[in-house]
Amino acid sequence: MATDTAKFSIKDLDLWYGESQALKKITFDIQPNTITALIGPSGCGKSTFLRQLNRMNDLIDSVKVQGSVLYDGLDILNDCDVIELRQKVGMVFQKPNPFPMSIYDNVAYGPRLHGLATGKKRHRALDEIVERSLVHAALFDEVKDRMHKSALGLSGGQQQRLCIARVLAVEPDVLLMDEPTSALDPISTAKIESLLDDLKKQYTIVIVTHNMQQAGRVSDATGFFLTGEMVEFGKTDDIFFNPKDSRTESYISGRFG
Amino acid sequence: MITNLSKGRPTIRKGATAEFLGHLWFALSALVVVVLLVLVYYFVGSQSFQTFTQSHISPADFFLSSNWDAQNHLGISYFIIGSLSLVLLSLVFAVPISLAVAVFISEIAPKWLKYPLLRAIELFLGIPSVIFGLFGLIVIVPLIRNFLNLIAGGIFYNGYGLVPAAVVVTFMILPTVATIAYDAMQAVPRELREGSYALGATRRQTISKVLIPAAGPGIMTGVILGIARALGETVAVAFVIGNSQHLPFGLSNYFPYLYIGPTSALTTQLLFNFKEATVGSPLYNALWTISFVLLVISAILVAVSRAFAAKRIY
Amino acid sequence: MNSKKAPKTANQRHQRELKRDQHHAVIHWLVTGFVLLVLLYIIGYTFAAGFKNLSLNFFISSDFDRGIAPQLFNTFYILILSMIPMLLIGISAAVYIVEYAKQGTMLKILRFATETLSSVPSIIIGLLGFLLFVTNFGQGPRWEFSRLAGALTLAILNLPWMMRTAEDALRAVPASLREASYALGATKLQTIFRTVLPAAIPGLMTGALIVSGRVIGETAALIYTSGVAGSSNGWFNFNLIHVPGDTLAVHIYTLFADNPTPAAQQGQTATAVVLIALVLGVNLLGRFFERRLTKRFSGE
Repeated sequence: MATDTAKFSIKDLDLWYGESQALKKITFDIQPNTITALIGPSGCGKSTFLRQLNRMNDLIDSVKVQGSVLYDGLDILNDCDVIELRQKVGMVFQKPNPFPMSIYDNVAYGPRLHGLATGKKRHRALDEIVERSLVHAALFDEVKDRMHKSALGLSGGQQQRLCIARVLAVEPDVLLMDEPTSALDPISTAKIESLLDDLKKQYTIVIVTHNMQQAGRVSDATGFFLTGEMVEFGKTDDIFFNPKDSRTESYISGRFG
Repeated sequence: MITNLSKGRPTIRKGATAEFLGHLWFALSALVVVVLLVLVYYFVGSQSFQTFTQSHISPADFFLSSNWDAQNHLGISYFIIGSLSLVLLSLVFAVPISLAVAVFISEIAPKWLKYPLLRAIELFLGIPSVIFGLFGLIVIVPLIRNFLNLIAGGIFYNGYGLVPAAVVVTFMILPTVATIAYDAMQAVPRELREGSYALGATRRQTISKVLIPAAGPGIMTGVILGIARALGETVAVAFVIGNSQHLPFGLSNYFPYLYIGPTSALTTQLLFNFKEATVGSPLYNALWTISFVLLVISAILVAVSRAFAAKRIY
Repeated sequence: MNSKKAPKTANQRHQRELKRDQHHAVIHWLVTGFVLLVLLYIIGYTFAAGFKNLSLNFFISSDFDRGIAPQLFNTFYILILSMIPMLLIGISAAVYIVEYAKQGTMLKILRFATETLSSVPSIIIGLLGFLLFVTNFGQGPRWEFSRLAGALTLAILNLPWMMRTAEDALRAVPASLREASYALGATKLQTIFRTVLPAAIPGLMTGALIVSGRVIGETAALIYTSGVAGSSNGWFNFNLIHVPGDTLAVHIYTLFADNPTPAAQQGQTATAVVLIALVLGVNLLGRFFERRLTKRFSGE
């Protein structure tokens, strides 16, 4: 795969929490408009890696990073404005984390921050952004009658789709998802998975998952992490049915993790 | 289950009596606080009504009149205004400052600074009010006197009054409000902050739009506690408020055309007048009525604080 | 939402937000620094003003303007007198709340009562103390302004605080300790006295010391109960109900209220130094026990 077409190009990425190294020499490319799944046992560094792509790790004092991550050719570890980066590279978390405000205000939060709705008709414009984002996240029909009620009243699955809508509303380019369905029931999980397929037409998606069936179902490419290393990366079908590394094979066949 | 075992073993029965007596003792001890609360309300309440029943002062006159003369006429409206303006001005100073300190310790301070700072602020919770009063007397009052006289270009103000009282009360309640606000902010889950940062919010935006609203009810319980302390504070205020029967502020002939001279609060009136009141005199009864007013306001504040506590999400 | 000078482009807006964010951080550094400076200045100034007036004579003289021997004695005497009932009732009440009371009306009433009582201004508790202890419910004298009257008033004032800190201390005892005791066949009372209370001692010490700091520093509640008189003669006795006794804190107030002379002001700041040192010492000791407590249960 050629580097110049890649959305993200990661090279020799090392990361330490204080003294302990959590990522070791990670190197691979993420292609645009694909879903890349990152799998591996707990504590293998996949979430830490994901959080480096929009530099959420900056919020943790003890983290030190080395290597390079290029986003559309731009070095985001050194030469980049984090605030701008996070608008472009949105993130959905493991536990739904709606703000304690109305459904509408949750979705409008980002557009208001970044002044996405401007001009004389900015209220109308904001309404449109909110509606479009909710429709896109397949939540609109369920909440259209209670847009101004607290978001904390929604079910877990609805809350997670709200969080997706909230990210879509800032018009990102990439979606990072950190085990987005691990706290949800199977029906909500299915809804979000079918949503992903739809979203990939417009966005590049990187999803961390515990659930290997999920990785197999939704992703185009898969990377397998183990104790801070990227053991293997390739097309999902290859990883699942033709793994090159014996450790990948053991993990896929359920021998550890 | 143990009936078989306990048969013929009188020690168990003896133990049962001890268990019962122990339970009784602990329960009665817990009831003491309830009894004390009832005592406070009963005595202060019953004494306070004698102003109207025994001393035949009309409630309207008592609360609305501004004329307070221990021998002839008792009206407390200026003291009510004094107390309320003291609370308000203290809040105007203390709430933003406490919030800023809480936000700083919780969100901005580097890790090595956080806990020393928190411990330092907590130590000031224990400093006695009389120390704050003394500091107000020998530092704040002269400061304000010199400052105002400099502005007005002459010697018009003695420096006592609402402003130094509010400054002193501000620094007294600040550690309380700040530590409670800090706790409320710490209770907001990290995920919420991350959600905001991940949308490209700056730290300022995350703090003002997500953190403070989410911690709001918890912060409010701290503010209410601050109000209660400002209202009930006696000695520290007595040092600097000037103890006069005037409105806390008014118009003046001199620049800045605002008079902020000596005044009184409800509590300082209690403090200064009680020694002069003979039991059963109208003054004595009136002081109990003032106490009851303070008691009722603090009870309302407790209720409001509980309402906010019930609204806490995190 | 948008200010009048709304920026034209997204980039301008973005730059403005970054600026604001920086200003926001700077303001918070400055405000916190200012607050800390003022608070330290309050203590530093008092020490600077009062320290030079301290002398050995100041501690042993009973002269109103020149020494604090009676006030020191009264402060500790009243502290001990008030702590005895407060510890006994406060800890027992906390035992009831933690070990016996079930979630329900009773617990709600107790919570409500402690919260409401702790919100009552201390001057009012002082007047109640006057009514109950100094006079016979206002109908003639009971005791005179006396140290016992002051001590009992302070016990009423601080009982809610003692209960709260004792409750925290008991709740910090791991449930596994209680279970272990019951599993060995201990009764509830045995578990409380032999397991829970001993394990809670560092926490209870912390609570008692923090409350002691409040007792030592209290002024308003004492002025009409233990009185403001610093009798120069015959103060060194343990008479409970016939001898008034002003504490250090009350002494600072009295020196102010009795038309401050220069000598009185020197005495004020010097007394303030002793009072601050006592209160800070007691609080720091409390924190020390708190740390020991954390160590004990976290096994560090």
